[in-house]
Amino acid sequence: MNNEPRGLGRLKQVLINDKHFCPDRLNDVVSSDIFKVLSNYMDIDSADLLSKISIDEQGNYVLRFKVKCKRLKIMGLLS
Amino acid sequence: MARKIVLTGGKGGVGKTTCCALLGAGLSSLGARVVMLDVDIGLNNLDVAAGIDTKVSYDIVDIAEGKCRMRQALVNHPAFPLLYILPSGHSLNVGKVTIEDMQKIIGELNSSFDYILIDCPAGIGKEFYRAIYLASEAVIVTTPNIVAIRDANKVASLILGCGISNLSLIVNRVRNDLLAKRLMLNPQDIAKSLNIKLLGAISESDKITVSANKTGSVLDASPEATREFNRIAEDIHLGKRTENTFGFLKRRRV
Repeated sequence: MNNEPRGLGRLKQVLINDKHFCPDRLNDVVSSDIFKVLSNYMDIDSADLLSKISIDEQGNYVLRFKVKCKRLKIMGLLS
Repeated sequence: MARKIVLTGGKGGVGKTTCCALLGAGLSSLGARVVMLDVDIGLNNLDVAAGIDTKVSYDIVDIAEGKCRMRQALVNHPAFPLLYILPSGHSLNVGKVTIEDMQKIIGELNSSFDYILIDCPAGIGKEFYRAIYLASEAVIVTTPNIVAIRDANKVASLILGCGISNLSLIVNRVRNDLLAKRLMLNPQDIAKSLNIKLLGAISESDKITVSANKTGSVLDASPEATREFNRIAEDIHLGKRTENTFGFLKRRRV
């Protein structure tokens, strides 16, 4: 059971976000660049790429992304 | 040489003026000569909170414009012989008093008082800086809700940026019933999150609200309601506040 008072986690998140301001626009730019790089190696749809930049409780940036790959292009690159 | 303490908090309605009035009364009860400065020009409330609004003849704007002398504008509180209030201007011409005017006023008060308490306006505009530049210490007043704490955090960063490193925190309007059920943020957790030493936590009191509505003055509240303010005043006066509860945490400039 979490003993942390209600609201404290939310407070920490708000204060950390204020300290390390990371607008959605940055997230969009990073997503777009990741899509370009991954497209060199696999068939993907931009709608299938989910990425999110967040900040953990220690103030570190965490980048998470998930992509649905239709086909790898790696064999073509090796030949 | 007076200690110049600004009471600020960013968000409006957290109780800055009430805290200023009750701390002023508490300090003067300990034998200190206290003057409270209302620098919320145009939206002056300290005179009402202290219950001396009918005694105001001149104000801070009149001093800045040379229309009166300092002793003509200072109002001595009838119930606290060592407590004085320098009322703010009631006209809406906010820009009339400059930082230089305020520094001159503070300079004049400096040798006659032990404490100069500065009641800072809400917000972080020009008026906020006008109040901050006058102080050497800051007491940040907040309530236990995230919106007010977030503003307090921003204000603390701005104050540090102005070179004031002596910061402390008052968490006002704490509901003990909610605290017991862990439904309200704990004042110590708030202080820890902000990395500011906790000066005190003030319980929500009907008696202060009733007093403010009945007589117009929070200084008429019962001793029971103002006990925590008197304890904080004692801590400030006797120097206990230098003991930093969260001394191992250094607040970083943001």
